[in-house]
Amino acid sequence: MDRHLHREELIALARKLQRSANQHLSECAECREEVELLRKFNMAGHSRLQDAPAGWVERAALLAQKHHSLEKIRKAVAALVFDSWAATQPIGVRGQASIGERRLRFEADRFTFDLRAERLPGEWAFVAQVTTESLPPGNFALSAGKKELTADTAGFFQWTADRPPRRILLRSDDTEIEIPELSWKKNRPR
Amino acid sequence: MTVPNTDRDLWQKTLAGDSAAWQLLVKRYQSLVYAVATRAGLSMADAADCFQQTWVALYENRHRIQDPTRLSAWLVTTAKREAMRLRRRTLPDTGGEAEIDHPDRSPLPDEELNQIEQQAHLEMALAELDPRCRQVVELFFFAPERQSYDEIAASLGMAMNSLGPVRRRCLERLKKILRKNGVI
Repeated sequence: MDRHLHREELIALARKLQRSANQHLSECAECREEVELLRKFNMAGHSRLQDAPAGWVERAALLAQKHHSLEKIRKAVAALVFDSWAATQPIGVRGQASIGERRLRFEADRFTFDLRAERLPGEWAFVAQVTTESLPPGNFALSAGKKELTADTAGFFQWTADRPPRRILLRSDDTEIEIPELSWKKNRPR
Repeated sequence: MTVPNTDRDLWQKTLAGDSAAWQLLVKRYQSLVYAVATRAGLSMADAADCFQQTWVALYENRHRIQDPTRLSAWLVTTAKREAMRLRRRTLPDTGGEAEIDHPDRSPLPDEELNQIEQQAHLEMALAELDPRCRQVVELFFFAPERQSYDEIAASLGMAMNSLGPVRRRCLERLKKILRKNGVI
């Protein structure tokens, strides 16, 4: 057996461009293995793969952690316990006054959620309050339609919108409470 | 020296809710997904979306993946699909005739994707070698084609006659790692 093959020859063989070294290759297991490796990993002249930007990698790496903490969040659907539109109006309360304002109370687990909606010209104004004994009220966040709100220290949320929200979600660090969807159509009392 | 986890080990731990195992998988394959995303001709913003969506898809489909030794192929295919989706969104609608004129508009032919995947496997295995071997083997695979053993030995500060045995020994170690990783 003559000399081992040069790197250039091995690469050429890996690319099947050169057959003159086949004689040596048939006798030399070492060169055969190197040709096989180069066939699989022919990177001559390539640069190494670049790392993704650190921020991208970090976000992807945190996916499992975030998902894990989301799985731990308790979910509950609140129950409607009071609706001023459904309540019998006291004698003497009639007409626009009862349509222009709606007061609602929801309860779920340890939470009470009060919502007052007032119809103004061209928009609705909302004031909501969450009360609970287990958490400081300021730890709550509220999604009302596209609005994302954070409670003040007394647990109040205030916002205005063109129309009442279809979907309201109340969130603390470990709980997500869904407020049931309501109809906001009310016939004017005769 | 601790033996690095195989993909199968890391995958099983990920399924069991071990977020550290997931982080190792992301670290292991981030350059592979990045290569697919950036070579698809996307803007950096779209490449970032492609990169992120690929990992989200992997995590969301984690209970459906049956063969964790094929993770790299899964990632490449998913990243390519995501890149194509993003490209379609940004390219003007050329109409049916243009499609016929240019049937393959893919900027990522399978051959190139395969090469990127193999390179990622090789680089992962290289990372498990000791620094000296890594240097020798890296030059064996990555040096320009015409770079001779003389030049490689010189760049490593080695005598030409000792390069051969060192190279063989290091390639042997590399093959062991590649076998353990199910690559060869």
